[in-house]
Amino acid sequence: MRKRILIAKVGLDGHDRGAKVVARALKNAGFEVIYTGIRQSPEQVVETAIQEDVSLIGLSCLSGAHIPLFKKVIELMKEKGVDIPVFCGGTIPPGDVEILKKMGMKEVFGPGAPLKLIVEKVKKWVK
Amino acid sequence: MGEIENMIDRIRQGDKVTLSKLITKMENDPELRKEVIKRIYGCPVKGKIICFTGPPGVGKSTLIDHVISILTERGKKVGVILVDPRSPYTGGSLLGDRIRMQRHATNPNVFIRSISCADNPEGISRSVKDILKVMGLSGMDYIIVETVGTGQIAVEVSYICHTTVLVLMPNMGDDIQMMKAGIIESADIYVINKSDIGGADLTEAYLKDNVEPRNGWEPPIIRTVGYNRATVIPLIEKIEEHLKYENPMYMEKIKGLLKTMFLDYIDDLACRFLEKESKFEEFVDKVANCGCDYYTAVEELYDIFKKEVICRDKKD
Ligand code: B12
Ligand SMILES: Nc1nc2c(ncn2[C@@H]2O[C@H](COP(=O)(O)OP(=O)(O)OP(=O)(O)O)[C@@H](O)[C@H]2O)c(=O)[nH]1
Ligand SMILES: [Mg+2]
Repeated sequence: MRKRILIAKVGLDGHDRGAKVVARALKNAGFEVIYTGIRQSPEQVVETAIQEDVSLIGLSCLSGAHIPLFKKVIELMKEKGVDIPVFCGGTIPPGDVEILKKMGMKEVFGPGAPLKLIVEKVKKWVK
Repeated sequence: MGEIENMIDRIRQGDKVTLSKLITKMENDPELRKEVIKRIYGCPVKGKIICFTGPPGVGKSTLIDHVISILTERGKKVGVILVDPRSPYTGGSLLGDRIRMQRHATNPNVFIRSISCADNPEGISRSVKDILKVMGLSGMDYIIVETVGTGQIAVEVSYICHTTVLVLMPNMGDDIQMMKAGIIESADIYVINKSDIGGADLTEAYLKDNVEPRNGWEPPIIRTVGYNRATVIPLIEKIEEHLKYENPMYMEKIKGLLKTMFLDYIDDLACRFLEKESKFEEFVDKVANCGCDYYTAVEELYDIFKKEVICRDKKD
């Protein structure tokens, strides 16, 4: 069984280090990782997730615009009738974590989140 | 199995979600793949298959991005399969070709799918051949395949597609490289990408010395620059020209492909037999400890295979 994960950068944010580091850690843990590159619209992310048939979407944002952007991704999925679990990371203020989780994020990983922890969680979700 | 039929129906109507799901299933389950192919065998396939192959990093994905733009502007539907390597150590892969063509992600006339390929010198995975057949049902006018950055022996790609484009770049080595057998003899169109970096004259001269007309087709050599869309238009014109050209050896080409597919399936059957056959490990042990040579071991396994698999299947 191939386990496919999309790592995506939404919005105009160019900070791609974190997304790449996470993508590489997941690749090394045996996952098939599709990385979108920077500056993706929520539409692009959702369409890519559909065409690549991934089991999990990881969103990364360091620009501060995470709430509206991530929300749009989740809404678009509902509109299109797809139900793919989502988790996220980036510079997310502690106060926003609960908001994001209520929105449907499985987990939120801020700056300094250990890669081991991220990989462990993903392994639990994607079997 | 009504489910497969249902899915095929929906794919015929252009349903991308179903196409995407069926590709996953086919990748994960060789038995299901077989069922699908048995069902759609002989159905007319509309799409023309164009393959981009060539060494890592020469600009295949960048060129495909322009090709998608130009074809869709002409009103065509385009399917794309991007093959990237899978680590033999972890089984993981980073499928990154897509980054170069993300602007097409939301175009309803485009479908892009990344696929990982384990250690395979041909640059495509076995399932790709079957997946192409399924994509062919979905009404695409063109299906573009990008192979893993290949070495020298990726000839098989030229069997699976109507037109093979070999992408090279300047400063990749001397004329001896070009003289080596393999892909250089099997491409229909040669592209020297990155012709902005200098050295393209020499690369073109080497290529000219080694590319020969085949069956009435003179393979063109085209220079492109990945950052300049205008340089890709002559490439498209040549692709169209090649798609119209009637290869007198077409049947031979198809038979060549079929032979590799036969062998693939035999290989599959043999692998599955060995996985279950307890004597396999025993024989490996024996050979490792110099108890017998491996030719003898394989012959004995082959005898078991004949008795158990072939005779049993006949009885069924
Ligand atoms: C390096 C950096 C840059 C580099 C980026 C290089 C690059 N290609 O990535 C450069 C110099 C280009 C840059 C530019 C800017 N930056 Co800057 N930058 C940083 C800095 C110092 C570190 C970011 C980083 O790479 N960290 C290392 C990586 C590995 O960590 P990470 O991204 O946080 O990822 C980890 C987790 O967050 C999580 N994670 C991240 N993504 C994902 C995704 C998933 C799915 C998961 C599970 C986990 C996960 O896992 C990772 C591993 O632990 C931060 C400050 C900070 N402390 O974060 C500011 C920061 C992000 N930058 C900031 C700003 C303002 C800018 C600029 C706008 C500055 C300007 N005025 O020009 C520009 C904008 C650039 C752009 N185009 O978007 C602000 C953002 C403010 C905000 N969020 O409100 C920050 C927070 C600095 C600050 N305190 O003000 N920046
Ligand atoms: N100078 C120059 N760089 C180019 C040109 N075309 C592409 N590139 C760059 O070359 C790099 C590789 O391009 P890709 O299109 O990803 O190459 P590829 O052949 O698909 O690579 P693999 O899929 O990894 O084998 C990228 O950084 C491109 O921006 C070109 O014409 N000139
Ligand atoms: Mg590529």
